[in-house]
Amino acid sequence: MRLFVVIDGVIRSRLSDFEIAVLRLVPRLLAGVGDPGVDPAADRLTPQVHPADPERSEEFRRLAAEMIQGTRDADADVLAEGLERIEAGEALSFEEAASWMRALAHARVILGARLGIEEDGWEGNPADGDARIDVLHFLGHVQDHLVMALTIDL
Amino acid sequence: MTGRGGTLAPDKVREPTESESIDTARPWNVVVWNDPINLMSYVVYVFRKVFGHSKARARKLMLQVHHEGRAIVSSGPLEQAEIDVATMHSYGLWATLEQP
Repeated sequence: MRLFVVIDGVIRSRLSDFEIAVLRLVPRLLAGVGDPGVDPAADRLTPQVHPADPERSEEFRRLAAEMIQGTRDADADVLAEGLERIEAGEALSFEEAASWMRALAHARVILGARLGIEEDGWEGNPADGDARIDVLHFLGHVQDHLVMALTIDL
Repeated sequence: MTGRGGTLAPDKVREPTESESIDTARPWNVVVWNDPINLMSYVVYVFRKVFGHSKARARKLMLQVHHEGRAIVSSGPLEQAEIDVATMHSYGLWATLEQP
């Protein structure tokens, strides 16, 4: 079953109350990205763009990190507000759904970086009892369904 | 890269050499690297949305990233390349710049 259905130019969600409750954790995860060199999530989200020139990379990161964090914060707000609205039976616009999709991508990258996942293959080997891996799969599932809905608008 | 299933993971990452230097006159490439987390479907969506690629072109690029570890997604003056690389970062993709 598709989690998001496009009807009359808007996106309606079929998320369960439980799924909505889990997604409520995402904005907090997005707000907690630390500094490069300290938080592996920051190193992954704002990597050195000039591998041969750390100084120039740092300058770029200083300028770009603010924009990237601004987008992430805005997406987190749209997700938090959207979860309230779909609980009230309302639909999402394509723009809102795109924010959700980016928010989930960032959340998964943050989790993956902090878990130290650096290679393919982790999906087929779920860590015993590690709820964070389950969350990674769940967020990917929701994100994939958002991509399916949004692809209609491309 | 995960296609539901697959993820973008580094196979071989080329280490830059000391002799590589900054030359603003020559065009710059924006390189997207394989990572183990981002979904294949999402990467295709981002390439289509940001660069206006056809579904086939975007999918080919995504598969190049997945199988070869990296792909050049755009080329141009440094200013445009920096905007593109920051846009890739805003989508959570792992991207860097290089001069061929």
